[in-house]
Amino acid sequence: MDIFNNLVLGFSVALSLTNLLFCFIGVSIGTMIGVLPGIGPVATISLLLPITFGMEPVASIIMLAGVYYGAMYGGSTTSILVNIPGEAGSIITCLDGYQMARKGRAGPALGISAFGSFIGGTVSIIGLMLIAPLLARLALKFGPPEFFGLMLLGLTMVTYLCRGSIVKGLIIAVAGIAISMVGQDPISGITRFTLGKITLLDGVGVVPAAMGMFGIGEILTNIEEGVKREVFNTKIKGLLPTLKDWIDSKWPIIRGSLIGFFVGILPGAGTVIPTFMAYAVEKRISRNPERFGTGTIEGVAAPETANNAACGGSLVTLLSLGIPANVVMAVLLGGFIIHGIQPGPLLISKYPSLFWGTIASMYIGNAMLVVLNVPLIGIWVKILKVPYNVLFPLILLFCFIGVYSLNNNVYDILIMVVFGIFGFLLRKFGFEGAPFLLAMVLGPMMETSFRQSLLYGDPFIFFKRPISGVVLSFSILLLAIPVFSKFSSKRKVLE
Amino acid sequence: MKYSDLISGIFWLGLGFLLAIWSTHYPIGSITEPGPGFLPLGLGLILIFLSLVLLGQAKKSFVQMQKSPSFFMHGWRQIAFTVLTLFLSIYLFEKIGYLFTIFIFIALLHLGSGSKSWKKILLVSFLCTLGVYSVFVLLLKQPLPRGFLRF
Repeated sequence: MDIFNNLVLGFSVALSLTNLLFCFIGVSIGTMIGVLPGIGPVATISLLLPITFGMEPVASIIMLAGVYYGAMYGGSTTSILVNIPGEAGSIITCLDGYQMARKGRAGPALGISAFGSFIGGTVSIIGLMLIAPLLARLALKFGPPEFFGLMLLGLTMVTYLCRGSIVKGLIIAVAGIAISMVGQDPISGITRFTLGKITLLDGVGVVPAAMGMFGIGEILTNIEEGVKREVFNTKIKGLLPTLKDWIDSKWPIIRGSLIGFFVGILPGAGTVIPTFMAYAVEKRISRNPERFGTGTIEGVAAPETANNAACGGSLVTLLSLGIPANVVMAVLLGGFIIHGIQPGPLLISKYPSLFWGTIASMYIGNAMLVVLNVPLIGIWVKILKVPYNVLFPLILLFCFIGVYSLNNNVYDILIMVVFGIFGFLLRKFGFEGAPFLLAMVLGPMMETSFRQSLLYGDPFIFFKRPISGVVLSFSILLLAIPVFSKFSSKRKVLE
Repeated sequence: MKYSDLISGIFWLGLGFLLAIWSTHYPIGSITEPGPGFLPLGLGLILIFLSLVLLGQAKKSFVQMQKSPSFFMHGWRQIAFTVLTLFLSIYLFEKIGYLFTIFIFIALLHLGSGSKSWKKILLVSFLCTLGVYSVFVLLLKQPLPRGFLRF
């Protein structure tokens, strides 16, 4: 009954004309940037943050969340029609989606990805609605050691799950925490590593850094790689999947929703891992696994459902614990803080209209997306045909003006450009930006809870309390796995 | 592992040392009463350790590799031009104001991306400037710098 009353409250907030409008703007922008390879939800949410200053907190969070799940819808269009993932969460869709397009079935592929995304998104909202309040109640019992343990686990998982060498992942995460130390010490107030610059007293801004690494850095990488897009030149017809398509996709959509949501909750999983898992599960249990990769509809339905379901999952830890599960959530956390709201266990009880309004808006946003996407696919295809040389100066311009508008400070633009070059070089040297940015956001919170925990007078406090003990042991185990697997493979070679 | 790991390993090693040494300028405290320099010192030491591991891994494979892969760089001219345009625009932004800066910014970026038609460059730059004025100044009321020309 409680949930019912809360949902009524949520819908009364989300259905106000202003919030409906911002939900629409959010999901439309999200779909557009999802369609366009080279600009993702991190840079877009960062870019939109200054614009939300004058808005109501509920409206701005509704819009920013809409950008995130809207991007998942858009990403599939590019994967299917261009064979380039518009979003990282749509990488695996390229395999079967593009093959379907080549066989003249682009329409059903786009259609099933839109409907699958809708179902996955809706399932994840129900999950979020049920799990987040429970987790928030549990988190009220957490002290600094538990929060430190959870944040460290989140960071370890991001590092563990990122591509390439785990050593590189750890290095970049440590560097991210180190950058977050710039500015005033959260406990003593002493200024650190500021080089005497007043701009750095508040630390290095997360938004300029995010826009630099994921906006400017991405553009420089695309310039280097010489992005050329060849849109599949076919008339897209029959967007509605046939009855057979529905029968084939029914179970992949159900499994994709569950995998997406539950894996999405895990810190660091983001939207990529759930899609790969959903695809792998379908291939494993299929009677005809050899059909995967040749244009089977299950290969589109499962990952496209999973990536939207993961969006709702990743919101669970942010809204109930105040801990961002991935880099998009880290930027969204910035959005909350800008509006004076600290996400965490008290968010649901202190700001019920914000929490339930956002949840209700996600139902509405998902419905909007499915209604919008099917008829708007023609427009997205046209946008895809805009040459990158025309597009990137405009993206740079928005980054430039957007980041200045944060604090009306030209140094923020400088920070953005420096981080852009840094992000570009990181990619060139095989490092990932996500652990760095997440560490930068978590750094101050981690330092505070770490030092508060040590003030208990026992350096082993982290292992003496059950929750933090389990969580930290799991983090250590995660870090130890690659070392042991290396040793065991060496031993095998020697034998 | 690649040659690039050797370079990045050296970079992170240097950064680790810098962080560790710099953090000693702040009170370190003790394990039960950590000061503001405690965590940065720890991070510096961890960074040194990790970069040594990276260097070790890179060295092993570097012995097998005679030639380094070229990671610099297709399209470097355009990248350098874009970065320089960004820095120039930052420099000019508050001095000559947003209107002229945006115009120059867009014109230079289009020039750098190989656009040869001056008419097109000037038109696009004008439209972008007008767009920023309409959206950010008229609609969103953002106080953008007007520079000494007061535009």
